[in-house]
Amino acid sequence: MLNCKQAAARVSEGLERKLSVPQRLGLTLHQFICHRCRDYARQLRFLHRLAPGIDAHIEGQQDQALSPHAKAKIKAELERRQN
Amino acid sequence: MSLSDPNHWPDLYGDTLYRHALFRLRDPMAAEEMVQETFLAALQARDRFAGNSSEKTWLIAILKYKIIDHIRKAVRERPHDEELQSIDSLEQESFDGRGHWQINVGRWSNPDNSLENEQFWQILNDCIKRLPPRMATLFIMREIDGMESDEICQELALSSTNNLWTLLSRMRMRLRQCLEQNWFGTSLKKAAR
Repeated sequence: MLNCKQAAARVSEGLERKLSVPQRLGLTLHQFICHRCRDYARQLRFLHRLAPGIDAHIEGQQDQALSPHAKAKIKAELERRQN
Repeated sequence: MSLSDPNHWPDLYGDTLYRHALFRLRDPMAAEEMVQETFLAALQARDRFAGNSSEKTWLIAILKYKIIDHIRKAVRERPHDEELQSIDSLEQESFDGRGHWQINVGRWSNPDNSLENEQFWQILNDCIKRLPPRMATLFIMREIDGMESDEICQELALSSTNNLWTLLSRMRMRLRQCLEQNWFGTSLKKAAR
């Protein structure tokens, strides 16, 4: 029988590759009796599907901007390379 | 679709690219450098712009490539496997001697609702910042960019996929814990009140 530590590692591994039938069975059995591991698995799957929303958050960070100095430097470099 | 005048790129896309770079590298100087390198690479490659994506999407793709390149160089100086040799403190605290949970794993009710909440993304961002730098990189490569195991091992100079899986498991455990402490746990308490 798996313990919780092993079950936690296996849940994460299951996001990386297809687990074998006995491995999946062992995990399912463990989760059947352990609600913490069941919740843990759900939460890791949640972390695994964050990608689609993150770009909007990144691009909405209005307080983060290139400094005027950096922008001027980049513009000058772009112009230089075109001449 | 054709490209706009490269001289306008810094005004049009400079801040957007900078925000992406800063999210990935957490280092303002390096982020600025990546933005400059992206524009210069784009200038050279602009004849090959196929026009089947927007200009912005194309520039972000170049930026991501440049950042991976940057990370690869940094990793060569200090390989990731070293991190495996240290004992993970959270993993130790989380389980007792028989491998049973000794921390609470809360129940997150409707976590998907949080995806609509800008505050949630801010907390997530803070939690990523609190990860050890290599784990943050791992989160971005795997969970955001969806890179495959082999590719990540190569970029991060990890000697085996088993090592990668151990690190991924630790990273997820930390991020889960941080989100529970700073977001889901607090909303549970609020709901109970």
